[in-house]
Amino acid sequence: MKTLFRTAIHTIILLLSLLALSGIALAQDNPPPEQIIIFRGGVTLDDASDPIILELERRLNVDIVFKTADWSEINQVRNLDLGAGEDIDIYHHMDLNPQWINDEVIIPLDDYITPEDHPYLTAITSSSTFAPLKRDGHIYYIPMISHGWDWVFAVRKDWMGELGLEMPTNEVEFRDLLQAFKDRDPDSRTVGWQIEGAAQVRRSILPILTTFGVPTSFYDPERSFTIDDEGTLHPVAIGDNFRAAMQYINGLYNDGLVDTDFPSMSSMPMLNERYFQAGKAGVGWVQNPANLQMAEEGVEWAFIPPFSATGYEQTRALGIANNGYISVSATSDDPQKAVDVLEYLNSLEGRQLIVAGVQGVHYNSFDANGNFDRNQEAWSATYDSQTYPLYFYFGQGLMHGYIPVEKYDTFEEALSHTEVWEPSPNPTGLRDVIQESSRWVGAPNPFQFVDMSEYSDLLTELNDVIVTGWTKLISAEPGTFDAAWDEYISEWERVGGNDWVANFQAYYDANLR
Amino acid sequence: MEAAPKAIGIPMAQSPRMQKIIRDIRMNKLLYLLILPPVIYVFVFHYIPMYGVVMAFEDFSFKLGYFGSDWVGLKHFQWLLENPTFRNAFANTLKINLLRIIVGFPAPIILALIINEVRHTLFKRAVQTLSYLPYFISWVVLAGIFNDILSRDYGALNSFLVGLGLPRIDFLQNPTIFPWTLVLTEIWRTVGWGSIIYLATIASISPTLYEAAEVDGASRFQKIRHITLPALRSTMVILLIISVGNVLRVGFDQVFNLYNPLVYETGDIIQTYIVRAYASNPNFSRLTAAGLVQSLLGMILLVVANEAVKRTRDGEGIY
Amino acid sequence: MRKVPFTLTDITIYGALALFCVLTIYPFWSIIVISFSTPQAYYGSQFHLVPTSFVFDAYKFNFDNPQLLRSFAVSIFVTVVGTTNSLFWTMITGFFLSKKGLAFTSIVFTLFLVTFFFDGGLIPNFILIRQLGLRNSLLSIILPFTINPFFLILMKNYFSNMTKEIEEAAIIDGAGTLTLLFRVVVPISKPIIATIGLFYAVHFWNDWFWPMIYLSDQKIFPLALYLRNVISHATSLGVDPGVVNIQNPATVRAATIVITILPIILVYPFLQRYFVHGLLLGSVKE
Repeated sequence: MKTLFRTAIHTIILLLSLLALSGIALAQDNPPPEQIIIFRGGVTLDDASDPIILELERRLNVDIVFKTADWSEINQVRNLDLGAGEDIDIYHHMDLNPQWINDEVIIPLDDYITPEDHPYLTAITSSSTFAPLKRDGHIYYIPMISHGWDWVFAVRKDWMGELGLEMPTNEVEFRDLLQAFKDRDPDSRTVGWQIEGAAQVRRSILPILTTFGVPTSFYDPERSFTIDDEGTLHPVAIGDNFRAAMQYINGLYNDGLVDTDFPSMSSMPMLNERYFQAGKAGVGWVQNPANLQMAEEGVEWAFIPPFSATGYEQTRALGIANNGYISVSATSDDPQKAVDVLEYLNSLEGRQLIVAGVQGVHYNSFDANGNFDRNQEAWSATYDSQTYPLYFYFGQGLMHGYIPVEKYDTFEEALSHTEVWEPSPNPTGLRDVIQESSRWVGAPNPFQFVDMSEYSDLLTELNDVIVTGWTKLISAEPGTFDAAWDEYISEWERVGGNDWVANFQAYYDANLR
Repeated sequence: MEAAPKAIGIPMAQSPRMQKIIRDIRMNKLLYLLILPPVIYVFVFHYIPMYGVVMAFEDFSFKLGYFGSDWVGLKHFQWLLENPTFRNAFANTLKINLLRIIVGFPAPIILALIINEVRHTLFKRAVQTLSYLPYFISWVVLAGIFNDILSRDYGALNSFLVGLGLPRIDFLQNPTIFPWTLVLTEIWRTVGWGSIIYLATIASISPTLYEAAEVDGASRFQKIRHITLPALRSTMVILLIISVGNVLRVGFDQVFNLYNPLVYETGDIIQTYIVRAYASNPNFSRLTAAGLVQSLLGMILLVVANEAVKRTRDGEGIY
Repeated sequence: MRKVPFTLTDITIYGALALFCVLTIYPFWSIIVISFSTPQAYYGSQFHLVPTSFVFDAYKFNFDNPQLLRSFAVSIFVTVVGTTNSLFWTMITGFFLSKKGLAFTSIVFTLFLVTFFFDGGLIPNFILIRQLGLRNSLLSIILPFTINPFFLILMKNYFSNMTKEIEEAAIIDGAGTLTLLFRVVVPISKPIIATIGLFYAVHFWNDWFWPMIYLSDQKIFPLALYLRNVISHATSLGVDPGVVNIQNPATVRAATIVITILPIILVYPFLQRYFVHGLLLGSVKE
């Protein structure tokens, strides 16, 4: 009995001191001066051992540390970190919340960006496209941009060949294509067209919206308007074209040509690609079409060129699709260093490093076409399907390329001459994707960056109305679409959608007319 | 306090009450030493954050802190109570939990009664062991599983219904059905665990009672009605208070992992409302106010339930 | 005991319970079957009752990921340390509260009871953790959960019900407080310790919400948070292009789920025999 007692005491003391020790070890929180702490959602790479990051740190004499949260909770965690003044230098944002500017949580970057040392940041922040992003004339957010392949559908070209189908040129042929793909599968579980989870429904239906002449982007349907000759704004999200598009999608849903589980999938960004890869999807909106061919040998994919629905005229999607914004926080010890790092990541040298890797290790040289000889062995030693390289977090749509700002007068011009790099011998196919889809990118949405901070409560509710309403419209039972539409409109009005529009009208009248 | 012994020269410690306390501490030195860390713990980790709820009455900013932020009184509560989304979440919280208690409460009793009728000890034990298991699995995991099983087109359950010639049920997407999905999956998870205490209570009933009833020719159901159920009464009452008291603190994990925008109107509860709002519109004061509303509601329910039971059970509540 | 004939009612009862068992086990069984399926087998079946393929791809995919192993280790650490810490202090406090005739018992009890009703909410807790410098430390998901007031009440009630035996033993021994606690109370309180220990362990093993709020370094994410990220891979408005991943999401998810619940299923049988006694005495006030 005595031994038992003694052992118990010893064990407890041991465990408690272990606890204390581990606490001391883990709680140490003393950043050296040149540490750059970056908040970026979904980071899976190891900032202490990643060869590209190590090389970047060596070149810039910094210590890069990632703080992260899962995709699904990025905004919650970022808001808490920002609000609490966490020791973080650089934040990646998915939305523009003016609260942080008003509370002086993030700082103006004007004084840190100089034309000599920061040609890229100077070009992008002084471009007319992103001018509305400024607040009171100051730069707070640096946009991360991407090309617009995200508003066309990818399709399994080999299946089309197998079934003797042509590229659809109107909505009826598109429907027939979905039906043929579904019938083709022995267990008829082909997901003809996968709409992403409910909260994301806006982005995976974009190609249909444009087909019915709805000019919008998936970022800001609540900020998309058509402007008539009198200069009156009409919100596209409650317009007739939009209604027709939703009715069409609802028809597909009721014919079983859309994955009916979409509302309860908590939106998996790569789900469509995986359905493609598993041979279960033939048509779909995808994050990165370059991945489609990775599934098996002989898979061929293509884009479905934009077409017009009968009686409608196809429109272009709005805006240079963006991948969020970068800001520097007020808690940063050295904002200049943070800005320097951001500039470097967009410079020719920096992009070569994060896209191709360390010269002599991951590749040896670039050829004139922008192909580099990837050492596949060295590359895949670090990066696999679960460890994404740095460019994934700081490259986005242009992740395989470089925007040659020094060669052109305006950023927009430089952007349209984006150089796309590809590894050989295993090209990603991304060059074609970017170049082909770039042809379809429309003008930027003039209302994308308008400050509506006074309406943040309204916007929250409006977003709920859009997410819920769109999901309900798509999944309305046969014969109930009209009722669903009326409910959607009355919800829109209930939460103050008209006030919202009136405010943009005022902005338009004052600034853009 | 008594005013009498206030003469100079008699220190406070000499009062009989103080003396008693000091003697008590001296006699139980080690015990008091040991209770010190828990008391410090509860102050630091529970009472300091509790003080933090003052921010619900302020326009709180992290920069100004609890003491520097502007006092705005009940502004945030007023906003919340006028906001249809919050009111909807508030009403759903009550509705879902009411449903959970009404439907969920009898389930473990019925299970216990059925298990008790089993005569093969091995089978009985196997059923029991198995039935407790789901209680320990988190909703993150279960939501992953149920999303598959309850899926509209290819889910096992709907495939089964269709196989029987029955219509599909939209478990996760139909706002009228979703609360039932929540309640039934929760029962699935907790019914076995909930039956433990009932089974133990049944086991403690004297067998002579049953034997006497058998002699009188009582049927199985009569025995349950007249012997088993009355014996379970006080256990039922305790468990009922516990479930009423827990009403508002459970359910977040389940709802958050299972719901979607199609069922916000019937599935959104206060906590999911709060967590969603942190992402889109982080007004920290307002969200703390929302949390406070939830805490108050839970507290009122628990106190009322406990008092009600004290009245009916000769002053015996759970605390 | 007399032999009682097997009646129709008995058949119904056994049938109902058999069905109940099937309903309980099926979700777990199907997820195990899915985790060993090829994508083809997964899509080819709707019930996943019988494994038609047996491949380890999904597990290999998981175990190739160093993060899964790290998260597994973190979870083991947090669960072991957290449970030990919580159990120890809950026992001490429960023991204190169960002692009659102490001057401060009711004050201390009230102190803990209030926490049962009332909670500061997310932001005040977050601020506290930050101010204590525990942000991004594993202590932030251990220390705040040291004493759960509900478990404390169970523990206290159990000890109170033991008071008589404890006091008798103490009189015989003339024992000191610690001796009394560890030599007398602990040995006769195995059921409640096992039950509450499992409660705590399950809390530490399953918790993902607080780790999500308090931890920002992927390397120390516990398994539950990792799993949630796998299950609900959602982006807010993100359009990060995917990098090659030729795995079937359903089978990978299933394998992650199996890996996560395996430890619970392994530990559970050893503790479950204590539940009845522990819960019964804990939930009854003296």
